[in-house]
Amino acid sequence: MMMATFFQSLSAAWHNLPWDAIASQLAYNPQSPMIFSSGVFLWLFAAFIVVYAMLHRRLAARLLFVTAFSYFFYYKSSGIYFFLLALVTSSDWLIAQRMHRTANKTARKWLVALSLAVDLGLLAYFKYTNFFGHIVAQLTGGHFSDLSIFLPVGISFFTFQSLSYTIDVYRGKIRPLDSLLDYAFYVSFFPQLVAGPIVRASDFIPQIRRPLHVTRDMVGMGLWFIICGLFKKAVISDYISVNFVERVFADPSLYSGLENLLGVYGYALQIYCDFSGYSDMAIGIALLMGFKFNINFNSPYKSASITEFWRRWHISLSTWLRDYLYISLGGNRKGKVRQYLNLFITMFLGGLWHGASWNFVAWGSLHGVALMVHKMWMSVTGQKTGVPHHRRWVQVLCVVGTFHFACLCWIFFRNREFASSMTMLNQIFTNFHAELLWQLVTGYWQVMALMALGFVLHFIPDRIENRCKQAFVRLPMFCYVIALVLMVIIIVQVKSSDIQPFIYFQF
Amino acid sequence: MNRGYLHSVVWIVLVALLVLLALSWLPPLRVGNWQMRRIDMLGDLRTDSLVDKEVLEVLPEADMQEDAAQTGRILVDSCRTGMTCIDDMADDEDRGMSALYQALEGIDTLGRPVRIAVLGDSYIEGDILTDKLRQLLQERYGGSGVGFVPMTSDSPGFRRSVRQRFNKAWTAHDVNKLNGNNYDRRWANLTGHYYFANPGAVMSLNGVTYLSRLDTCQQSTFYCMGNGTGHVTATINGTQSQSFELNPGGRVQAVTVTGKIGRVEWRVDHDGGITYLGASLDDNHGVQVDNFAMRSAGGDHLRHIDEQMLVDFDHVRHYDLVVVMYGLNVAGKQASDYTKYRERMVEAIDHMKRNMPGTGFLVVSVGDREEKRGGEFRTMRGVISMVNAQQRIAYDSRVAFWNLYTAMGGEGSIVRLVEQKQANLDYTHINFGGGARLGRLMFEAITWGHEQYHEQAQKGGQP
Repeated sequence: MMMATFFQSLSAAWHNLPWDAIASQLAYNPQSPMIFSSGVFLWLFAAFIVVYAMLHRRLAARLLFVTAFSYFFYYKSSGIYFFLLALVTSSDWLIAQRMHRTANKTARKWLVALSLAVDLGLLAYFKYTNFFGHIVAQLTGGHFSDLSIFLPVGISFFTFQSLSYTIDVYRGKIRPLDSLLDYAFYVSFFPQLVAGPIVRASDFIPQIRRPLHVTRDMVGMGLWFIICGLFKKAVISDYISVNFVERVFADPSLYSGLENLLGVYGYALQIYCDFSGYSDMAIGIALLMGFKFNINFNSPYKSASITEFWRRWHISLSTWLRDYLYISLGGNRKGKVRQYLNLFITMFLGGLWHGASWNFVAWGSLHGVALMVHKMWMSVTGQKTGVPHHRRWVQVLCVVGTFHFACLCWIFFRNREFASSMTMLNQIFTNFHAELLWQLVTGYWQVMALMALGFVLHFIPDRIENRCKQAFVRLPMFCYVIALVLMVIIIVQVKSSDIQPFIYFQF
Repeated sequence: MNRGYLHSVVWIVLVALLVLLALSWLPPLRVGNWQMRRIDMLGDLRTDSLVDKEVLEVLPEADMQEDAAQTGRILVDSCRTGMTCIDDMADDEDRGMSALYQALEGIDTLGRPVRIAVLGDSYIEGDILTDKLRQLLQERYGGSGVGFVPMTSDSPGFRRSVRQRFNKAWTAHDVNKLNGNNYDRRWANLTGHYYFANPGAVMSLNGVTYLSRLDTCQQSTFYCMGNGTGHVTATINGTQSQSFELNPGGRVQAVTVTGKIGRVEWRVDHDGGITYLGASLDDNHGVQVDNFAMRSAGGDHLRHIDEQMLVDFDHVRHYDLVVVMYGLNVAGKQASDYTKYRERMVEAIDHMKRNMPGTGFLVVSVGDREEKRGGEFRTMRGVISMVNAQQRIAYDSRVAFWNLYTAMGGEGSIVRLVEQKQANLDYTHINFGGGARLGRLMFEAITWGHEQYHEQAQKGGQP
């Protein structure tokens, strides 16, 4: 009798669930792509990890399940365009298979060219059609109206990731995968699918069929990365962007030079926290699933030169560009002049990779020129590593200088219009109003405090950071739960916090 | 196969989720003034809101409705569907929209442009909203030029409707500057600014092609006042120069150059104690819209403008309509009756009415401004109170009222504008995109009112 009542109430509860709302949360919504810091993801990941653990002994089923989940994850962000993922996956898998079977060099070249054509062709169509359309129209004096082309989320990441596979197979560095499922698993693996890091086939593929083994350290490190990533993305980046940085960039001429400068510093922190925070979460989630990714950001603003900056900033992209573009162009094998040119071309295209717009090209070009100049300097002074070894104060000056150069470049990266960038620089250099500092700090104290905290955490010495990391990893498991819950509570407080009112300072 | 600590991952995630779910049922924690926001793990599945729905509609009070019905003014009832019309609450003195509509009726024989002044705060800074209103009115009724521009600006590059340059020989005194400004109420005027100059002070205005009818115009006028004397030279298009003696004799003086003007430069050659106001790019017919935006202003500074100053300025630059759109810097988070503010604004409008004969007045309410309540965006309660107060101000002053809050879509409208990148992330201020949208709505409300006026005039009835 009691049992029957229990089942009845269970059945009633089941029927009372808001199925429509659940279905709408699981359906594609262009307004809210799936991100790791959302509540929906926490629910989905909880369900996912339960099934994932249940399938830990069943390799094929687990691969199939993770791939299906990844495709669902992609569908949540880009709807029907998940077919592109399938297209890139199957074409590159077939091309690599074919390449492996043929010894003919020319045929292999044609095959790798085909892979490039498919992947870069898709990227070009979806990302750059309108951009190049306008350029052609300008050159020919014609008119071009923007085509309504949807930009599938993460297409720049998964096409580059897949290309690393076909190029490595072409270069004979890796054997192609026999199983299409394995390859689909690699290309679509959801932690890094939409925002990187760009995981290399040679790093990832050996992990696919390795026995699934999550160590205690991996759990601790995974959660450390996730919590740090959440703090960077959902606390620092989201708060300072909405409440200060975006406003300054929206109308730079409305703000004094001081506000513009702090806006640029804020943007430098925001883009770092946003991008590296998301990478950290991807690395952390992968660790919890038993997969190891390389680190993608290594405190880039600690760099003492622009060469060092690019060894610390978006490492998976910079190494990808080095190995597959710079080296393919001839790298440093064809003389100094050619090397400088190759560097510039690499950074120019690297800038374009970030978006189909001239501001990204300008940003890449500025970095390209700086890298060329620094390479020349290294050549003149006989430096080998690009990391200068000077006295402490010179080192500090180099770090400050590099940071400010990176900030200068961010101005051109963030402003879509060249005129807005010039307005910002003009305000900073001709309309500074240092006397506003106190008003600004007190008026926007929450933003300023978070920015200060962000930079302090960024510049913490590596050994202290590592100690904290190790101490976290050694904590008892229940402390992980507390840390995770606390972080969610903080995020909720920040997300629903009052909007910082707009302050016009008197100057 | 040893699965290692995978099961721990499962437990950590599930226990964390359960704890968070449990927290959803806990009452919100309060520490001093700070209240912890509720952790609502099922919030995405909820269709109903956790925030109590308040009644947010702004309704005309009974006496106002009744009164409007009796006077036969344009009421919301006669409005086109989907449009928020201007409510003219003028009495027999006709100080609402009639002056403007009458001027528009006779625009071809008026012998001067029909002029509208828009007095406001940072909401319209940079000619936001008014630039679109001006463009649409000039396209429909004729006219060109950006209108009146103060001598200097805190953010000259921000304004898109004119390219303004000035040197450091000007000393600006703005009514909104809190300190270090030595603002002297003797010189208080409609524009909110006045300037002193050293010889060599220059301000130039360049027409632009940002919107139509701003590239060239027919005349430029230089405005100054005070008891001193001086000498100023205007250079049109970088070639033709014309000099003027300045001797306002305690009144407001205006000197004008004419021609096809794309660029004008005004240079103070000699200054003997003159107080300067600004210069304009105008047409000699059509419609002129002047933007008098003043950061942080609430509008009650208008009460303190010297009567003679209003009369004098009206004499040299008569307005057919003065639009009064403040309130953003006064409306707080909490609902309030704003009685004091209402009284001051009624006093300010009455003051202007008395000293600007033949000018109509239109009070425009604040737009939507939202805050987060319970994690959801909601219109600030103070904004609703302010809209009601402004409607009452218009009624008590017997002038016209336009409800911008309703016109832009009411609750949630600023959030939608932010999503469409037409408003700033403070969920208060619109940008140029939002301004163009609201400027068009205001244009439609004005022209609809004019059409009704015209139809009634054609029928021979009393409009």
